Amino acid sequence: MTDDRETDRESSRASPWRVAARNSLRLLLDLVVVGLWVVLVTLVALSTGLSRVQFYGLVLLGVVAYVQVTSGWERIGLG
Amino acid sequence: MSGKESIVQRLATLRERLETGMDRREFLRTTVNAGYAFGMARLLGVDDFLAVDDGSVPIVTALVRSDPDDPQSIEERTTTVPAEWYATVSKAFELHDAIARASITGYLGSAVVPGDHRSGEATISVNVSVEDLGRTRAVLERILGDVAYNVEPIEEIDELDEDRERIDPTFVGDVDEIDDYRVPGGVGCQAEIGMATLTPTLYRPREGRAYFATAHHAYGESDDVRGEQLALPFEDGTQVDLGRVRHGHPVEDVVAVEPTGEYLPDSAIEGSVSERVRGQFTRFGLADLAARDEPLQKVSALTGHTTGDIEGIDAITCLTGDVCRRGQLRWGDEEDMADGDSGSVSYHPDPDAPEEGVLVAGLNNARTWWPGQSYIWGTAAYQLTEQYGYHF
Repeated sequence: MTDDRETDRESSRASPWRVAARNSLRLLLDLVVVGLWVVLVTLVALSTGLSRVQFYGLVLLGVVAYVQVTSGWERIGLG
Repeated sequence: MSGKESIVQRLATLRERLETGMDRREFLRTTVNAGYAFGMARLLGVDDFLAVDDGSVPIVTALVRSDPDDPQSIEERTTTVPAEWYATVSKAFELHDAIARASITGYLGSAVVPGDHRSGEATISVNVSVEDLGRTRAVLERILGDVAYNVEPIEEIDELDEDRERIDPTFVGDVDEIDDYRVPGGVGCQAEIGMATLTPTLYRPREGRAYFATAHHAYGESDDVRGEQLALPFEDGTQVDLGRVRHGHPVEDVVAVEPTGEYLPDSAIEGSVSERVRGQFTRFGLADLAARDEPLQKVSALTGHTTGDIEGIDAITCLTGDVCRRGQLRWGDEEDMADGDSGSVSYHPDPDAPEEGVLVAGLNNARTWWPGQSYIWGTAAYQLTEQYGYHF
């Protein structure tokens, strides 16, 4: 485990470009997914007349769930 | 032993990792994403239609010139209304539009009649010709479903009743009554065929112009009246030229007259009352006035200053001409409208600054002539803005 992390860090240090590329790709994916989520919730709000609290609560819930799920995969991958 | 120790050590490392590195990263990611999501929601204008938590929604009621002399300085007047009322009125607007598009035989028009805020209701009033009443009901039932509506049968009478007593128009006394060569709305004007009433200044920011305006039908049935003259008559029988028609809109029944002489239009209404005009009401602004039972007023050349209640908004009327006229406002009493009053505007004080001036609701173009109903109708100001970019 400790060894894994060491090598991981070493490889990160070794190719900063690859890390940067991977991170910007992940960031881009986040923006697209979260953007679509906002649009979806907006459409739902438009058709059902959600209140402000409900709308922002739903958006936040989605974002938290998304981050949890995606970082969960990452954790499994690393473990 | 060493194996057990290594397991504990591993667990500890894992927990440390979960608690520090990952969680902080997760937190950061959540924050960034949530910030982005909220920012995007704001950009999409979500706040405009979201219900606030006490069950009310904000609506834009009027567009007002914050600097009275600058037609570009438009600011919005907003108010909050109960969400239920807003939803019902919006739905009524949609359904009433659906009826108009359904091309029902015998359909002569319809209007939305908003109820008061507390009731959260709105009624659709449908005008149907008497002969087609039977078969129309079924179609209306299908389109409108559970929405409240009532059907007003109209017996089509071609001729306007002529037994009304004739009223003599009041014109501007003489040239001295006009300050600084600025002609206000509400005074009589002379078109090619008949006399009518002037509106206050009609601006068209796109062109950067300020127009005189009055009813198109004062120039007769012709669809193209560009270049025709508009004059300002005085009581002694003389008259001066105001300008020539630059834009004619037969469906909305309005002409925009470009000043060609020394006289210019004024954002004011003069008669037995004297008002400054600061802007105009939106469709929901009119719905809000109707819900609060706020009366409208007008000043016109024949019947003068009158007051009346709103009868229906966003109306469609197919009674006159070949096409249906949309965005009409129904208000007041048919007795308060005579032939030379066309072109006058209905108005109400600015709800946020009543002492600063009044806001235009719509034009007055016609009145009911059939039995059973009594109101004045004309194209609402918001319709002129939506269609052509004019505003008062």
